[in-house]
Amino acid sequence: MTLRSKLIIFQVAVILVLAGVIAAISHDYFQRVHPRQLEGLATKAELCVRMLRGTADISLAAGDRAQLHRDLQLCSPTASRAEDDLRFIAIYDEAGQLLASRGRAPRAPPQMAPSRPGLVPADVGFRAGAAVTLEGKTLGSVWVEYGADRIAAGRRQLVLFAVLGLAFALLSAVVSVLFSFHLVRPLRRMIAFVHRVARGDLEARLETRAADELAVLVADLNWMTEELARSREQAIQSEKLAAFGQLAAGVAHEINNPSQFILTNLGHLRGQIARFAEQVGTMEGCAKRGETILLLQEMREIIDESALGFSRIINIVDNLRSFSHAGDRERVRFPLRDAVDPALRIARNEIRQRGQLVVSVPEELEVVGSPAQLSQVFLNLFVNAAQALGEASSRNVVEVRATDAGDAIEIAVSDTGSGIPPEHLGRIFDPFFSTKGREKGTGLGLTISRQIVADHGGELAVRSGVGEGTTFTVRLPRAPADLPAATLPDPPREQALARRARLLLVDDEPLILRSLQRVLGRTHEVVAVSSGTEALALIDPRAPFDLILCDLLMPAMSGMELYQRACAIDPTVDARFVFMSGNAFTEESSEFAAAMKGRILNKPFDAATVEQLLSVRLDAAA
Amino acid sequence: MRGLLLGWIVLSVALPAAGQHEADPGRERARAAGTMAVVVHPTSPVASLSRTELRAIFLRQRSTWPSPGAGTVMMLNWSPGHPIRERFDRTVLAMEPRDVAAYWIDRRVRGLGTPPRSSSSAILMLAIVARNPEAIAYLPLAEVTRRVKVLRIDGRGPDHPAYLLRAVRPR
Repeated sequence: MTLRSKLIIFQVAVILVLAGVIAAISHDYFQRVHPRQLEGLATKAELCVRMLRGTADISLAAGDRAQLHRDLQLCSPTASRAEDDLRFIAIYDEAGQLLASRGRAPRAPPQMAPSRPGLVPADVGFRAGAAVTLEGKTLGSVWVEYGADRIAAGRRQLVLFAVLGLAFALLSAVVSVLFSFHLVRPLRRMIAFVHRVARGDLEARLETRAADELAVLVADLNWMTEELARSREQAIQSEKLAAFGQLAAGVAHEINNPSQFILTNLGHLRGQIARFAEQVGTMEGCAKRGETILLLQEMREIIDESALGFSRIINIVDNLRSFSHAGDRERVRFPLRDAVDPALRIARNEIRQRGQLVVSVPEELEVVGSPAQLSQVFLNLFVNAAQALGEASSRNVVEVRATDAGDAIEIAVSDTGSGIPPEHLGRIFDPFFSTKGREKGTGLGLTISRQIVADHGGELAVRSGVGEGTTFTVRLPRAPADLPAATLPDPPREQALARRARLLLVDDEPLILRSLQRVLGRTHEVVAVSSGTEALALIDPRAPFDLILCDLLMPAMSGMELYQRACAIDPTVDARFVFMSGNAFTEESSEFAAAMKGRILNKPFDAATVEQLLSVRLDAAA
Repeated sequence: MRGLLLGWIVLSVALPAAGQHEADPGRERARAAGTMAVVVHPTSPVASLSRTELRAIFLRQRSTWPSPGAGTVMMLNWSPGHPIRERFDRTVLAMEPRDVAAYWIDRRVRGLGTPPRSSSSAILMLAIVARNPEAIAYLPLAEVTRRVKVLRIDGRGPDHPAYLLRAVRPR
């Protein structure tokens, strides 16, 4: 049932009740009150006539007019009052002559039967008359008339009130129905609006010129729609980010495997060229010796440049990996400066070219997480700040200020640069959003930074205005005291290994096997197999390997499975397993990687890393 | 009807009290002790009535005048309880006032008639008698005017020593 029909039904009910009450009152009045009032008036007239007849006989017989007047006054004591209905009271002698009267009495006695009071014509009153006799002798007559004006006035008043009451109820019904139109129209607009929003049109807005509760409702509806649009936008963004992360993880895995053998091969090639150059240097009497040395020089430069370009590719892939949540999950307590200082070292020059650098990071502040990842965040912020400064000027300042905010540590990076326009402010954390141009940025910096800070349980906020500069604030939770402090990594060992070790390489990518075998095979005994099944066949407690370098993700049998089955054959192989990971992006492999902390080599790695691992392993065995 | 009756009773009690002749008990008793005169219209053919005739008239046992052509009698009595009325009751009717009251109640109950209209005003009585040839009333002789005729009782005028309503020593 609609609001309007409810209102109309209510109004009709009110009118009916009112009409009922009025009808009941009127019925009672006309059936009971009004006849009794008239009857009372008739009785009054009759009583008055009888009283007068009883007293006026002697005065009439005596012909005493003064006494007659006194009799009249006695019988109508209240005649002069307004509420008395007496019209006239009169005494006539036998000849019909008016002897005494009060009020407007007719000059002659009325021509009607004088026994009972009767209605005066036109329903305006009662008239009663009686003959006056003394000892059987008729002396004259008395007449009284009472007006029903007050009764008629009361009757008219009642009718008036009834009509007015009904009219008022009718009017109020009409007004409220009209008001319901006024009320229902905006409600219907709101319903239509809500339906539009429900169908997905989040750009819809309601307009109102009113300033009442409905306007507040309209404003709230608009606000809710905006919020809905905003949160949908955010949901789309995080969906995009998640999809992007999956894609990135897949791409990183595909790139990391070839990267591994390219890097290994490039390093090996460089070493080979160096050895070749050495040999050429010792060759006496070779006709084209100088020319060959120059050629080798050029080859080395080409390889160096290729390695440089390749390191950039690795860097990009590394950045992409940040989205897949599969980066290293080490959590250590470390001084904030350990994350800030490396970033400053890189960005310092770029900032100083344009303006002043103010750094205030207290030594004692400590945070939890990955120093390398946080360093990446700070580097990003510093470079952004430097680039925001624009042309060099002494007024340009980049300030890095870390403060202890109780339960958290806040690092504010502010610049006095151009600021971010409001229309860009909402999008700066979106992936691939950049205003810098292709050569300066990928549009991933702030996206990755926010992801890293969020992974650390913190938040990255921005405050900016055009012409006011920009402040990025990194808020990180304070380090709990029970977390272990970071241990300094062992200094890399430069010297070659004392003895020849026995290595097992397991990877489904033959090019990786070949490149690693080529590098490591020069100094060690290297067995390379391309599947877990083959590797498992080689596990023998009587002929143990010093190190088993195994790919984590392989078709058929994965590294994890190999590890478990190998341990079942020979429990001592446990400590000798080291895993290579392109990018551990399944949930299972992530957990495994977390459990095998410190025993994961992220592809691509160079031969020196393997050498270092071997030396640690052999030392432990010795 | 009850209301009407009540009004009648209230009126008949209130009217004498409200009259211009305010009752002073001593003065009224003195008036009643004086010589009384029975008066009629000057033109009335009647000049004398016997005590029996008077009694019959005032007890409404006779309603016509003894003389032919004089018509019905219009008698006026004094209000019950008035000393003049009591004296008349005792002297002329030879009845105690309460017996007279009982007599009238008895008559009314039997439907034989109502008591005569009464008044306590000698002036009104005089006026009525002066205006109505059928009227008869009694009042102190001292208050009688020339407009009425004083009747002889049992053939004796007021100045006769054996006059029925001659002055008595106040009680």
